[in-house]
Amino acid sequence: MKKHLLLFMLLAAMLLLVSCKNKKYEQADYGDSYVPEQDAQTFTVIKSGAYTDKGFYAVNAGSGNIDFIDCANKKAAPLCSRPECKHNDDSCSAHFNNLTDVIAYDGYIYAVAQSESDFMATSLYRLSPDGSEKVELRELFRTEEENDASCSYELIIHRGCGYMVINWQENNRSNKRKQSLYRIPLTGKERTELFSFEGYEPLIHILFADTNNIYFTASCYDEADYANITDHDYRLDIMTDEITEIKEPDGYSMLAGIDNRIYSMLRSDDNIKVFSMDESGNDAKEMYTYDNTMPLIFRDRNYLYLDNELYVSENSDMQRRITVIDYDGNMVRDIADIGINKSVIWSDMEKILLYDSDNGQYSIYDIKTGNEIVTDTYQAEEEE
Amino acid sequence: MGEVKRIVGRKKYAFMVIALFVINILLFQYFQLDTVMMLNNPEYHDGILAVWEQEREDKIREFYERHDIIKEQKESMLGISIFANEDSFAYKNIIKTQKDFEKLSQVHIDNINDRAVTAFLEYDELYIIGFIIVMFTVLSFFDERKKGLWQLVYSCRNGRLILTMKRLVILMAVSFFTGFLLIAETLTVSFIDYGGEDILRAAAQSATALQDFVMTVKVYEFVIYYIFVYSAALFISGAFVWCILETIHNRNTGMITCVAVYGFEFYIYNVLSPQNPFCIFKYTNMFFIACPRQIFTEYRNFAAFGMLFNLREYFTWLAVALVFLFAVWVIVAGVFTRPVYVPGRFEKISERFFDRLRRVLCAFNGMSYELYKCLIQCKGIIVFMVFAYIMVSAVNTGEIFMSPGRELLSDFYAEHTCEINDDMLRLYENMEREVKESEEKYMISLESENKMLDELHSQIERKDRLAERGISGWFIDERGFEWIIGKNNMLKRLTGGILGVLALILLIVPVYSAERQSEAENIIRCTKKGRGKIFVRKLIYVVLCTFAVSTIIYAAELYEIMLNYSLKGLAAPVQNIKLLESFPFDISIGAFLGIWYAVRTLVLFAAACISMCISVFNVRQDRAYLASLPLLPAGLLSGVSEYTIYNLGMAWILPAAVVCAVCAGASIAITYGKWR
Repeated sequence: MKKHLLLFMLLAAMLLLVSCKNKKYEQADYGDSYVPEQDAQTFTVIKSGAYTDKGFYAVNAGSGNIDFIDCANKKAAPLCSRPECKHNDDSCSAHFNNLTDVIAYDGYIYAVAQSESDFMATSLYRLSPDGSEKVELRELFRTEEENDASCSYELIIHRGCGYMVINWQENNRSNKRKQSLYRIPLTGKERTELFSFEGYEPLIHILFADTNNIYFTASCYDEADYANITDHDYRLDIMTDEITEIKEPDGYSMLAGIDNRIYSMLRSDDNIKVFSMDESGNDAKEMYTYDNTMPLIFRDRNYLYLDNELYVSENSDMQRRITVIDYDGNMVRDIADIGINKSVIWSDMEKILLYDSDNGQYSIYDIKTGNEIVTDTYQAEEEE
Repeated sequence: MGEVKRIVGRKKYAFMVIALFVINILLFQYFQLDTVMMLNNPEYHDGILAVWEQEREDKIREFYERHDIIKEQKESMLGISIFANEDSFAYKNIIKTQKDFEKLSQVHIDNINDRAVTAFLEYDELYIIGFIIVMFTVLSFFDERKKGLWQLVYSCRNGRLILTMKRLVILMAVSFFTGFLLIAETLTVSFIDYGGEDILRAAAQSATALQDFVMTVKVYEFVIYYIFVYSAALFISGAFVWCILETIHNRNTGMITCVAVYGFEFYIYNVLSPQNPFCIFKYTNMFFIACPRQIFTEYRNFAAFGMLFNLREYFTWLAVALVFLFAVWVIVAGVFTRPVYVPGRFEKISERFFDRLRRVLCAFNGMSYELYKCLIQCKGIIVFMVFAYIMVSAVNTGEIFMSPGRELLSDFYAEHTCEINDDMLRLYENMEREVKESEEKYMISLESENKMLDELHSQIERKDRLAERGISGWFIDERGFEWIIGKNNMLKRLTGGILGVLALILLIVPVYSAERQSEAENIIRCTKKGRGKIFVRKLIYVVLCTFAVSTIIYAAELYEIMLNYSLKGLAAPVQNIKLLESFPFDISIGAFLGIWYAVRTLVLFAAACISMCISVFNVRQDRAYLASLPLLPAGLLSGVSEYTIYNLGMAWILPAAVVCAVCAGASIAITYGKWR
């Protein structure tokens, strides 16, 4: 009897292990409304910033550390609570090797940087909001060379999972390559391919996350002779893993998707126009016309941000400005007289964070009033 | 006094301790050799002193500035919302740090020669030597068990509590004197090398390595504090092992448990970062306790259970608590662990299983029974399974994302891994021309194609160089081969080599010593096949173990490499691998890899044979294990370090093979002579 019981327990344990390993991922349903803690923050493809109710987190372009920018107190400092720290080695929470992304999700701050144990790997780290805890959660991917400049990847964390693509920015006309969009749990080693396609220089860009949908674009050259770029926009339903193609009219580029409406732009010789339409490309409504043809465009749930940074130089007469429009096509704010050395980092839908590379200071512009707040910045010591 | 005389008064013990103290000095001097030689060289003497002086001045300036910086930082950081929550670790850390460094605001430090103290503090091997001495002492406490006198001793009036108390005092005394003497001798030698004895009366922070040490004491007071902390660490390490061995009846099981625990602790220590929420397990860790230098040279606070702990303060109190705890545990175990052993449920089940297995195995004889003895009775199968598990777990099965250029190269090599002849050159020229035409037509640079062409071009250039030596050049994907022999995989090779040697030691040591320990040796040797044939069987067992261990090591390496790279082109001359371009012999890559793995296997085999030889000379398994441990560095040779590749340029292969063959042959001959 006892032998039978032991055998039964062993078998049950083995079955349990096997069933755990083979379990299909089940997406938790957070409903059709925006859930601030669970929904991905979207602003730019390069996730060098994030926000919480306390302030902004940003990748410092100079030191490569994570900075925290306190809007209320107008202060900025590395995300490290050690006053004696020089922020230049692994004992510092703010310090990473080759830090690229910082993401705020579900009460934590996530960072993407080189793995501490494998110089060829890029890993996902999780930090507490005050930097007192830091854990390397998982390896995201490995490349052959350390910090390969031609490799760029995109990661968003949305409703419990990461969605990742790894793009190669190399001109290549010899053969078609496969490009894929993956879902990755935040811990473990698994990676599930959700979408893939083949083409010449294929690229996937994750544009926007809205409730149970993730919008992304897949582009490639359709012929080896650089004739045309084929650009397709898609919507991924994270509950069913179903991929739906967005049938925009030719020439339109998707910017965002909110509440089953698609927001796209059409570029002409003189300007760009922003439209909203349904997924089939019908019911198109012109929302806004912007008089420059190559603005930097950022987007979040509430606004589109059009930045003329590329036009403005020290010698030009044009003033640097950021135009904020809502998804009804109304101009909310036209923020002018921004320094030419300031780069937009992130927005929390109330304020825009910029970084001045000349003096290492952060600036915050209030969207409603257009007023600028300049922060004090802790200057980290140079790495020895 | 009798117990003291028995343990410490033994010639072997005294000789071992003295030898270790001498080794300590020699080892310390070895690490200082380069610096001291340069210091004694008139050409460099003044320059070095000037550099050190400048470094000290910079550090002193930094020290004085830091206090003000920390104070300013505190005010600034507390004004930031994420650090301002008074219940948070961040807030408490800022307050505590500023308060601790405030103590140093009145400390005056001079520019004094601190080289001796710095060299002493950087010398970590001190902990290993102290640990060995304490372990020898602890193992002596179990002599009555080895000699079968445990029951007799235990039944004496003073054979339980009194004896345990005496041993506790002995261990405390040994820990203290070991700590004191090791520190004193190391520091003395350091002062002889570098001078600067004045620093002993200066503030501790005058030594640049101690500028994060926040106690306002002099250097000599710091040394006294260090002695006490180090002695406590030694006692705790010794008492911990003592507790385990005292509690677990079977000494082999106890030793395995100790090794397993220390291995686990080592893993935890390395896996947890200082910012990990569970970092308290990094610092409440037998591996960390055995080597606590960090608590003096770094200032660190960490969070646990919602509270803030300063590492040095935590360690000091932890040491006191553990000294007390282990002392109590040892006393309780010593009194209540009885010589009579009652097997537990698991052991009863395994006894019944092995009993049935023995009946089946009665049908086997010869080699099968030899394998049964070594693998089952001596638990070799467990060692083998653990080793295989570790090697397999360490294989990184992650896919490497290749750039488009690399993918083009891989596609090219898949079709054209072959000698570079005229057809191949024409193919290359066509490809080059097509790429140039595309670039001119579309006015872009085709980066992927150019990467591929650059790589192929470098192989064509190499082909021209090799042609001068009469060697043919090939188009070949070198990356897989570079991983096999190059520096990228070196750490894994070294680790695999050391683990392989350790596994072989654990598998092979019982091969003779088990029979000598159980006194079955004389019976076996007087049987018809008990000398020559048994020797051959044991030797076959050694060969099989070496083969199995090396197969696992190489299979794990090759599997990981072949997940991402191809190993086509084994017939190509070995000079087609960049790392081996100047290799003097005209052999193929396949032949080279064969020699490469054969030599590495030969190193492992030599270590296995020496282990077998040690086994035949030892009547006790545990002594044979300890005596075999110095073979571990052979694993480094088997792993083939970067030094041997780049500095010896593959010239190591033949001498290594000869030396290993001689060692193996000599070991086998000596073993045969001893057994026969």
